[in-house]
Amino acid sequence: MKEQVLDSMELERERGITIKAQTVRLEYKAQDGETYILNLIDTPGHVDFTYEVSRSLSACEGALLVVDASQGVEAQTLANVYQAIDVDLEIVPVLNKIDLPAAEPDRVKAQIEDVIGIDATEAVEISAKTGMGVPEVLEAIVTKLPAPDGDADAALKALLVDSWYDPYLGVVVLVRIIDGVLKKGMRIRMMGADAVYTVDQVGVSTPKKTPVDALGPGEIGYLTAQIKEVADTSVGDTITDDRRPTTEPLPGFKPSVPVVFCGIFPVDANDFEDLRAAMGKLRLNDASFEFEMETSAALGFGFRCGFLGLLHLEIIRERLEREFNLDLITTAPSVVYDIHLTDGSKIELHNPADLPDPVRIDHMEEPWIKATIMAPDEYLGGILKLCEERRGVQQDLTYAGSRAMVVYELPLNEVVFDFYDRLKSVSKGYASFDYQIVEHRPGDLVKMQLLVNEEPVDALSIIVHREKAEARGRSMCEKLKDLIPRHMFKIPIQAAIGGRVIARETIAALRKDVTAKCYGGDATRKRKLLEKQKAGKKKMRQFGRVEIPQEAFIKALKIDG
Amino acid sequence: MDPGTFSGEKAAALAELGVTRASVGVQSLDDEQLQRCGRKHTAQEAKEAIRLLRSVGLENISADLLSGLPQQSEEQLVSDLHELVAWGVDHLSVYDLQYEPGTAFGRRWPVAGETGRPGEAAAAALYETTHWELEKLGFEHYEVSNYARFTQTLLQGPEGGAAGGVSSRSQHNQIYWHGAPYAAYGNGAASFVHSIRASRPRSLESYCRWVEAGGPLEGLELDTSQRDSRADALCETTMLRLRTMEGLTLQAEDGETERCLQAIFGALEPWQEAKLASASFADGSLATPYQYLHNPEEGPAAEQRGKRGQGEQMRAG
Repeated sequence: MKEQVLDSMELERERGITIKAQTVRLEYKAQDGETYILNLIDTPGHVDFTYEVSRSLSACEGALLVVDASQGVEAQTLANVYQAIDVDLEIVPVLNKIDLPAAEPDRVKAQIEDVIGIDATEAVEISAKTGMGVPEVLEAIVTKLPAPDGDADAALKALLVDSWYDPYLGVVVLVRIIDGVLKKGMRIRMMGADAVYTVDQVGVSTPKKTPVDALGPGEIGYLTAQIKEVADTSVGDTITDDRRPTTEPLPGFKPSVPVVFCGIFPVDANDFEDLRAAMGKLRLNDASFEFEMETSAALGFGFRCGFLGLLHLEIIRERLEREFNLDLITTAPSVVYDIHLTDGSKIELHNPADLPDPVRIDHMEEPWIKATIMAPDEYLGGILKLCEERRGVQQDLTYAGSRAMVVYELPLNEVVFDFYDRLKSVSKGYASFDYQIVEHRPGDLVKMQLLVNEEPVDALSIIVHREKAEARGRSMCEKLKDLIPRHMFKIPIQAAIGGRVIARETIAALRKDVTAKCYGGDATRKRKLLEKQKAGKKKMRQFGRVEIPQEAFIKALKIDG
Repeated sequence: MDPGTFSGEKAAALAELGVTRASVGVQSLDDEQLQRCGRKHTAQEAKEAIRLLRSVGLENISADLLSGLPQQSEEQLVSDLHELVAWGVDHLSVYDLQYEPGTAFGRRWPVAGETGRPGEAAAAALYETTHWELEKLGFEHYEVSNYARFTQTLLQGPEGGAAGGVSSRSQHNQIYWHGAPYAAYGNGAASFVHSIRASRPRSLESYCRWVEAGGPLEGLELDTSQRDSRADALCETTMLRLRTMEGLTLQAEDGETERCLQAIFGALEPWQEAKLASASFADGSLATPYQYLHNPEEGPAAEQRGKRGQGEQMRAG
């Protein structure tokens, strides 16, 4: 078996994280002599993917809370465990990495009891690396977690947990059987989607996909049924027997909501169709990735994309660039603002360029989050300063030993670009961060434009809080001055709000750009130099008379601490 | 020809062989400057060399000068230009000095604007000054770094109007810029025959050995790109032609190529607006002649003079 069996995606393995929930079915002979069948779901821990977690939890009776015995309880631990508690799951704490010298199981157990409030006296100590303690975990599952109850004779009721596109099998649907039996050849009805299919294949993951004849109550497995597209299935839907449907469908899930947006444009306009195809492919297995076509006067055709969070954004971007070999320009990550117009209506603003004329605007509202940050208390000062700088409002500050936990409400737009990076930097990497969207609140927000050579560059427009505008504008102008190469004419760089310039820099003109001598054998050398220059220009984008390199966009939009 | 290592006998021998033109590496007529640059001759020796060349029958003489030398003043450069012209030199190659990393100059003066090396604006000013001075002295600036005396003749043109003149443009160099074939002799020299550029061994020793071995093909460093790659050939032609006063003229053969030329013309518009290029498009023909588009009163030279004037005022005041 490969080292990290379940994290099958290359990116997941590389980053050491789990992105998509994966299932496994395992037979275990317990100490009582009985053989049990365990159906397990491995879920992502990262805050961006809590959606995946909540779906998976609904399909389970119990949960193993795996805590790193050297790191202890982190912010994302809390987010996940509260979700499990909310759906009444039985929880067994498991302390992992017990083999590490830095492991402090007693301290962490105490932490679990103090911070989370569940009993950790019987927490299982393991090392997934060495295998130590793993049999005890399996025992704990059998003895502590309730077995699923469900009536095999009742009408089929199955939860559609997830679906994805498999190159060999077509659309594969992950199901958890609640009642009844799902068999190959059955006619099933997806109640929410109001669609009927005939089941081709039914199977389990061990983790390899293995067909079976039937799935009964408590089991998790997959089915295929000639379903054309993943979009035809709706996560959280109830699957039942079309000839004998259940009368009580399951409650279902709210759709995931993207919270971070950005524009993605191909550097070379000719790549647009390839980009469109690539995004379609990524979306097949990631329904939470949203995108719609967008045009920009400056950048041409591209897409406005929605993500569950910054990590999600980075992963998608990296996959597009790596797997599909595309050179991309990414515009500033932004959030959705609610624009309340004077005529009483409200619009959602996704793209700063779409901001209506200020005279029509009554007020603007921005999304706020509640963030939970945990870190050793020696870094607290830097963390508090960072949150205050980002217009944060402190809600709570508590300690569990030498670990501080601070809760701040923050505007999401102050967090979207590099808050996490800065947080890690002020805490030497020790801080953990988790958040949830709270609500939209009114804010004194303005649209700031960047003008390069007196022409606005849409991709650099941002919505910013008025009190931050000048500093932000100055910082962007300074950065652009260094990032845009000199041209044969001077280039003014200006930040402006509604036509009023609030910051400016000037890039001096190049006075000479000529190769003085050129005779005889020189021609070859000079030509090769020109070709090298041309290759370098591939990553440039033309805006009127000015060439702007791709990296200028990303770097200019980083917020300074 | 280097005036520091020159001899009358060698000149006479070359003249006898049929050589008709000589290019003298004067570089500067300021002895201090010459020493600073490690040259082994003086201004007087340069003058003597030119006189000697004339005396053995080599009338067609060109001089090389450098602009942008460390601590070079505008006055010195102007004075050098006037003096050379007064000596009867009909052609000047004035090169903006490139301080290449890895060379003696590059190591000694690594940063523009520091330790005596002119900054970018000052170097540009000197280049521009050369242009205006030589224009006043009756030279045409026919290639990036090359100026030829142009004598307006009083002969009537075919249509009766006063037209034409005699130019001392270098036929030798023009061959490079027009992509015509040429042979080569000497170490490191490159020939261009049948669209293949062939460079001879660089060091004198290896060159002599190569000659003694009969000048075999393997000893040459070849570049066949002009023959084999249309894109490379097109790039090179464009690059070389745009260095000349006539620039590049492209004539469309049909509607499609005419549309391509139109697109290129459109792309040049911002450059034209910025006075960095001149182009015209008419009757399916795109022409890009060289034209210096600034006035003497705008442009780097005037700016530098203005700055110096301010500096002097401040010192005086």
